[in-house]
Amino acid sequence: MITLKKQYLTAIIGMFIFVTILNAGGISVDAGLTPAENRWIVRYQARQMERTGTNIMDVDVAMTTDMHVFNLAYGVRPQLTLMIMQGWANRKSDMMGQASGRNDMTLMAKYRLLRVNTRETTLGVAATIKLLIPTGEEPFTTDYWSVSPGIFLSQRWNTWALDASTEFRFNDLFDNRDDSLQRGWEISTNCAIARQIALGDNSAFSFAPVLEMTGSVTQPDMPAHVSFNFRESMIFLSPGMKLTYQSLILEVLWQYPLWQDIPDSAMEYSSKGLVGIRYMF
Amino acid sequence: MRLSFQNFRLMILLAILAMGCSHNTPSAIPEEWKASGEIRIYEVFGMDCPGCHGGLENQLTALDGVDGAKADWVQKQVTVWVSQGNLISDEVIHEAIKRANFTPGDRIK
Repeated sequence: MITLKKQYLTAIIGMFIFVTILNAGGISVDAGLTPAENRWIVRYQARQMERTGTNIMDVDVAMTTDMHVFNLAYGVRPQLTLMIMQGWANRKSDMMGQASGRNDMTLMAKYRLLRVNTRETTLGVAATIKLLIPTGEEPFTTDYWSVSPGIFLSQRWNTWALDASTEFRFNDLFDNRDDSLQRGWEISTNCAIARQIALGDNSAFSFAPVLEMTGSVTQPDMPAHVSFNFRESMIFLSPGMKLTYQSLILEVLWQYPLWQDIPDSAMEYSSKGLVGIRYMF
Repeated sequence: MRLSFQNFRLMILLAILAMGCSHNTPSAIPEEWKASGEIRIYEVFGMDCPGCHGGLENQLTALDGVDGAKADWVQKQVTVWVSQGNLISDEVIHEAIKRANFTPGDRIK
């Protein structure tokens, strides 16, 4: 039976979905079509992720990871964007203690395959490829190169937007380990819906409620006991908002785990928070 | 760093400071433009937020003969200030709009 509180919650979520089934643009993943030629985009995001569980003594344990991620993108051609991403992480764990360090570096290229702009709609398709370079510090590096080809789809209808992307990650490109180890893979997908609302008389200011859904499946390394990649599948639902003033975007997102399938020995994902700022030159 | 209230407040402060540093692009045509040169208005399709303005305006102001440009994603148009006596063609303007990944429509003025 639905309680009064649940009814309120359902109504709020329903209203949010109704409001956001208008225009989008993702926040947690790279979203948006290729920018104008010669345009630079600088982006910073602060992310926090929490995981909780119990250890073998049945005592509650927790792990918090804070990340600072910097992105620099450049429109080489109208149809081609290059991007570099570097993060730093700080982890506090009841079981593993504290650690800080640099993450692996990611290079990315996005190539526009299709873009059709009409008076009412815009439809875009782009191919993406990411290269993960093991430049990070222990314990935040994978120690191997990975490549992730993907596809990105964007649809605008007046002030409404829908973005969807999916990518597949091949781990350990150069097969560093011995032949007895078979690396796992990961497939992830993201869908975002939002509406761009102009604020005031000046079209330089806008507000956009955003609703994202993110899912991923990780196939573990085999044999599992020496793995870096553990078996896990999860879906996150993420309400957020973007505030745009001219070339500046402020973004906030909160990710709630809707469903997760992880090994009994691993800690469960709790919610994740993200605050970001972006400037386009 | 935790996403604490202090950090969130810092982000807001940085955003406000950056907004203060941003160049101002009101929708109204500046008086300076009306005084000399030619003002043209083109329809532009594909802009979906104020963040699109800068990329389009940069492409247009990089053209010889264009002294200023103001885009408006709500009105779906861009106002171009062409230097006095310059005969820059609509085709050149259209090509610049395409380099910004947008599609030119009709010339309104």
